[in-house]
Amino acid sequence: MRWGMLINLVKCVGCYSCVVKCEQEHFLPPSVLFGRILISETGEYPRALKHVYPVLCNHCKEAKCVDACPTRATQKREDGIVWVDSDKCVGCRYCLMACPYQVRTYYDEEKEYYPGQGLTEFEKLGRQLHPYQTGTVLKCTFCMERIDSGIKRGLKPGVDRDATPACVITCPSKARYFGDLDDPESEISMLVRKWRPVQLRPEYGTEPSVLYVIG
Amino acid sequence: MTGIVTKERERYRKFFGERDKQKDYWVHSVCSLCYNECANRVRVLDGKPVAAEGVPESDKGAQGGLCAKGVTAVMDWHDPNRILYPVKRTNPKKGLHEAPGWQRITWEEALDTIAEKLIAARKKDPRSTVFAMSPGPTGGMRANSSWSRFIPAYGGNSHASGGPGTMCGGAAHHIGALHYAAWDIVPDYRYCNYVLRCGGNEGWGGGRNASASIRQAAAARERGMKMRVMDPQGFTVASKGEEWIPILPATDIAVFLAIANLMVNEIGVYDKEYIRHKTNGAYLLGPDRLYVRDQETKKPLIFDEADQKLKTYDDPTLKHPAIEGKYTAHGVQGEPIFARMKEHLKQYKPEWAAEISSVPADTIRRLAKELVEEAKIGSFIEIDGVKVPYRPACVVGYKGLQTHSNSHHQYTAMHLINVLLGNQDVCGGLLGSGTARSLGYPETGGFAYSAYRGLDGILTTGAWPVGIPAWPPGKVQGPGVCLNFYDLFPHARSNIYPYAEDWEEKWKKTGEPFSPEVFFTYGANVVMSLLRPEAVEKFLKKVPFACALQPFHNETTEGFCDIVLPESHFLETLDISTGFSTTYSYPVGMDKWSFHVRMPVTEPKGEARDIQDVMFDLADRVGIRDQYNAQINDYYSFTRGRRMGRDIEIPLIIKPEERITNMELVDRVLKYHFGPERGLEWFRDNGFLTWKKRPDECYWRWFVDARVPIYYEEVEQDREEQRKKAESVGFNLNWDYFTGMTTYFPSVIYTELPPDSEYDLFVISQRDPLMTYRFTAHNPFINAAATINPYTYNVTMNAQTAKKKGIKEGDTICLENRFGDTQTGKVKLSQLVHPAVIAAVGLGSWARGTPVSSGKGINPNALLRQDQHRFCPLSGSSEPTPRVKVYRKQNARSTT
Amino acid sequence: MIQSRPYEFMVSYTPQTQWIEKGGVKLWLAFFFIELGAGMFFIASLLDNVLAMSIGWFLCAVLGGGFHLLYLGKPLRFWRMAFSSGWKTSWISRGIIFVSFFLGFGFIHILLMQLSIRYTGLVVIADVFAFLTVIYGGFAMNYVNGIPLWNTALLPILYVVSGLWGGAEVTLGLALGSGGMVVGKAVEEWIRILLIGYLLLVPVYLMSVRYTSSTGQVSVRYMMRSQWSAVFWIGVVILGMIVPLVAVINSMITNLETISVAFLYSAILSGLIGDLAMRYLILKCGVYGPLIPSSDTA
Repeated sequence: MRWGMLINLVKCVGCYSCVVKCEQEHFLPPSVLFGRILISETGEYPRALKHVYPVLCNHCKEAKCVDACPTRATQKREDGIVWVDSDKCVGCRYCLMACPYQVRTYYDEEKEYYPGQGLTEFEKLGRQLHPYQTGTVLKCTFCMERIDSGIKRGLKPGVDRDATPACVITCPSKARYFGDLDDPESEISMLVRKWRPVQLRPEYGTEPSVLYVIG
Repeated sequence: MTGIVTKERERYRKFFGERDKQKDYWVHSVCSLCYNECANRVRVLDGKPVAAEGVPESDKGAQGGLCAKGVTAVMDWHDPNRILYPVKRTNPKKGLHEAPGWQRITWEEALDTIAEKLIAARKKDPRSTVFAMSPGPTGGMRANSSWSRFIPAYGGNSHASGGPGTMCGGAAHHIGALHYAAWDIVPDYRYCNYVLRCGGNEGWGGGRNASASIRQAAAARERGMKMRVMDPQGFTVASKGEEWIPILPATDIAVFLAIANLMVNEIGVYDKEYIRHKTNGAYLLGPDRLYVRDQETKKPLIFDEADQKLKTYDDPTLKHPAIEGKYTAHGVQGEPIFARMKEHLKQYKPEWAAEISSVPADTIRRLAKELVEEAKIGSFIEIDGVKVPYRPACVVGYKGLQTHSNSHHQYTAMHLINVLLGNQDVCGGLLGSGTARSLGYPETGGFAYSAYRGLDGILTTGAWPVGIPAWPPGKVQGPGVCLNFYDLFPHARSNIYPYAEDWEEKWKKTGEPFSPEVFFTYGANVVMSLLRPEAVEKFLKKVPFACALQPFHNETTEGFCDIVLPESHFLETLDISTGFSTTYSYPVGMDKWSFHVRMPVTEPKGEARDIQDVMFDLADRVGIRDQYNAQINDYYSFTRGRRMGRDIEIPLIIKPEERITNMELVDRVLKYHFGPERGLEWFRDNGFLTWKKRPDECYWRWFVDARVPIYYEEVEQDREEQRKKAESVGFNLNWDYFTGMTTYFPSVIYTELPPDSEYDLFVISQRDPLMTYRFTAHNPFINAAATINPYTYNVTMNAQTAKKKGIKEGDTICLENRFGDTQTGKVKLSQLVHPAVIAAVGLGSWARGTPVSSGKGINPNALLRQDQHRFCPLSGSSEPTPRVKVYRKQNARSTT
Repeated sequence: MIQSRPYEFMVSYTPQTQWIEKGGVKLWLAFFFIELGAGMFFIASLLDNVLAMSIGWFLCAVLGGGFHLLYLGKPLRFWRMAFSSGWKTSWISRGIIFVSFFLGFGFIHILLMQLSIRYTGLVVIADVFAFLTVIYGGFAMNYVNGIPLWNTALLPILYVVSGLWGGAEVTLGLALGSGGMVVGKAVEEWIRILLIGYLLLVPVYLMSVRYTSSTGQVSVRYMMRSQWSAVFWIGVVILGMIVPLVAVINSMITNLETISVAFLYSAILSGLIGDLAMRYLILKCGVYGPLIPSSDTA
């Protein structure tokens, strides 16, 4: 089993729903983002192109960050998800350095969403549900808590919304797909065969589990 | 807590209390972070909304997805800057940056004071109360229902909303009504194969139908739908098309007329049957440029080639209307409008259009050819067993296209192409933004309405959610009837007055039959949304009393309001109006009918109240409750007494004398349309209703016997009277512009300065997927996303143009107009902007009540000095494009 | 070209920040002192100079270890770095083990030397771990394949050479200060060899990185031609290479006893500053390649 994600860039419009939904789902502190949208231009006027790439942790098969972690706080599960046990993280940020995709964030200091106006109820609730520790590294987990609780309830990740990563279900373009890359019958595997998606910077050799359909 | 509020909370708890006791629950509601009102479901944890998603089973939105704005809406509920109590101003000074010195007061004091002012003003003259509204932040349709219906009940007509209308859809909504019986237009994505998109970002994250369009457009792209985007900037929706065609702002009209000319006079392929039967192209036009009418009935005449007779448009024996030739009726020689138009179009050559627009002539020819080929004129398709015309190509455009001083002609030129393609409200073509015909909810037959044939056979809307329908046309009156000169320009639904620079001198010439006494706004940030704030300041300082009802402060309330009432956040609101935006932003094409109620997810915070209850309250105090009830009743029974073209008695959902609450209103309206079992309780427990759409609903065009105008005879009829009256107060316009025939007129931006002026760049304001007006800018989640978006907070400029001016990436630059007004911001260089254009999102807030948005971006409107030459007198659209010079600013900070 | 705005992150060439900006500065100093201290111990141990060994040990343990611990987000958990299975793959984990063993064995050796007891085996073990301590930082950075400026075998070698060289310089300075001319002369030999190594390695390193990839080229250009060029040319080249070279040539002509002490100390200090500058620039100009195509980076 290897969870993977496929993002169809023909369908994606770069609306940032995935970015903010993730923030909301995980009650992320200000200045911490698990997902981003990278935007660039190539070419020259008037034959220029705009590129829009939603990026997140690739949960690489050969994850550099896992090997880099001196305390084994960063671990790879059997289903391929790479996650960080914050209680073990010592904040050396070696994992962050080692990631060629730069998808990790060092949680530096506590901040307020409305600076100087105190914590909102949302933030207070967030700190109870997700007590992120300053001085540690945070990153996308493919919403493993949704996957795990979903599977327990007999739901199928990638098919049933409640068991699927939040960034996938929120996409208004339906540009994101999630499923088991090792299962040839899964929707994602069939789409991989149909669309022949690519990885970002495959030359890094990390075997990302997030794939892109360019066009 | 005030007595009124206590009672409301009791009512709320009685109905929602059990639900709210749960630790973790979801509520089906409707988003309000733009005016498109996509369906959402909101999670409430420990009594606090914490997450928002789309609704998979509904088509009103992205079938489970939701754009970023909608997702982040929950944060606004938590915003510590929300207005939770009525406040009054203690600083007597009013002005753009004045600190108001808010002091909390009770609802009683607030409403008593406001009512007293409204009564006094009404006594003097109901027109002396100036009403301003914005569709949002608490609901696009709320502004048009609960708020706007108050105005006719009050007897007023002084609308002065600032930007809404004149800075967005002036022509779009007027022509949308006339051509589609709908507010706006959306391609039939499910079947469309080719879209030429001009000046608008629908289907991408900004614009009409929001999440629903994103979903539909994405599926269409996956299917292989082609899209060409003609726009001064190419970094928004153009990035999803195969081709970006840069064009100078407001010159699309030249390209459209050239394409129409090519179609009609060169290629020779266009939908003749559509023109014959579905437009006034078959009406005879006399030498006086008016219809040749039947002497008895006064109805426009058509020549029937089948039996060589003159007939009225509604003659049941009419078979084959002529669209060419010359015919005489009672001594008057006339020719079909289309024949005259064909001749008229010959002057518009692609080479001429290329010089004006900077779009190469070859490209224009190719576009015409592609449109004609892709439209498959004459073909049919079967949808669910119903045969409908199939025209899978269209030209679509929005704000950027038609908000200009040549708006009416620019926009009608675009629709001329769609008429020639015969693609209006047929499969694969261009649809109204919703569905103009509903045969009713299958179980009850309620919720039914239809566009129909009205005066002169012209298409008339059956369900119109906003203000006054476009047809039948308003009459020229005044001067002095309307503060905002609607009397002189009745074809416009909004315009730049009374905030424009030349309002005062013209108003004086009317004899000033009344003066503005009260300014009452619902969310409209007039200081920022139309033109330079100093001009708005000048007007607002004249008004002795100003008040507002909204959930957040803005530059207008802080600078000028005496009392501000706290409106409940949309997540705390029970709102039926969202379900009635059927021709405004409903899922188009064969998507399901999806009826949603905006349901409160929690009790309102503080003393915030629902606008409907507030307006009922105010109507009681002002003594106009009966009239207001009638307006609300009219709105929710749909058709102002006409249903399916038959005159019926207006059903009384709410009797004039009844003193019901919003909750009761919602319950009654629901039961009226959906049956006694489907009242508020059912919707509270089940969320929403969907039912299958029929092809003769969504592709209604050939099922309704009505015609759209390709010639606007009412403009010709009114011209002389308009000219006399308008000139008497100092309007010196180009009266040739007032012609029923779509004609090339340049925007004022090309005539107000010489071509080699040092003010050589045009500022355009693009839609951004993160920003709706300025009210999403104060959401910190949106801010986090905007910070990593290169275009949102920056001023985007063509890289080669910047190099010539010695400007580098990230420089602080100054934009300055010829009056010396300036805006300063950081520049982003781009290859996806026309060399003569600068693009910036409308931001630049400074309000203390929105600290997160303060100091970010620029306000392009601050570079606008609007007067009679800078608006379209037919559609009311403002010309939002200032001409500026740009230079690096050393040691400068960005201005707000 | 180089990211300087939030929306250019990983779209333009993006400098790493965690190991040099704000608190990251501590890591720069940590690596410097750890490697300098261990290098100093290594050189001094071959000359049986207890004072230099002790100071080297102190620099490594207190300044190096101290800055390293202060840099950590959760310093009190540092022990996990040694007591997990991280050493199997992680250079930081290995590094803390190497440092611990070096400090342990080194301390014992110093203690015994105070008592005039010398066990060759102990020296060897301590030196092996000292050497590993000097080199592990380079390998830790080498592992980061996202940063071509670091992802070269030449980096650990450069760090070993600079660590040993720096250690030798400080040992020389101490010898001069305490009148240990014999030690001084022996160290001079080490310095000559190590400096030549350093002088060769720096240009070879930079040139080879330039040729690896466009990101490599951008990194080197960033180091040598941007706002950091002053630090490079004045710090790394003049202070870190030319001045020490002049001092070495001078020492080959004249006698150690007759050389101006002030000049030698200045040269030593200059060399150390140059080393610090090089390390700073390697961290500062360590740049990740963009993830997506962009005209900015073409």
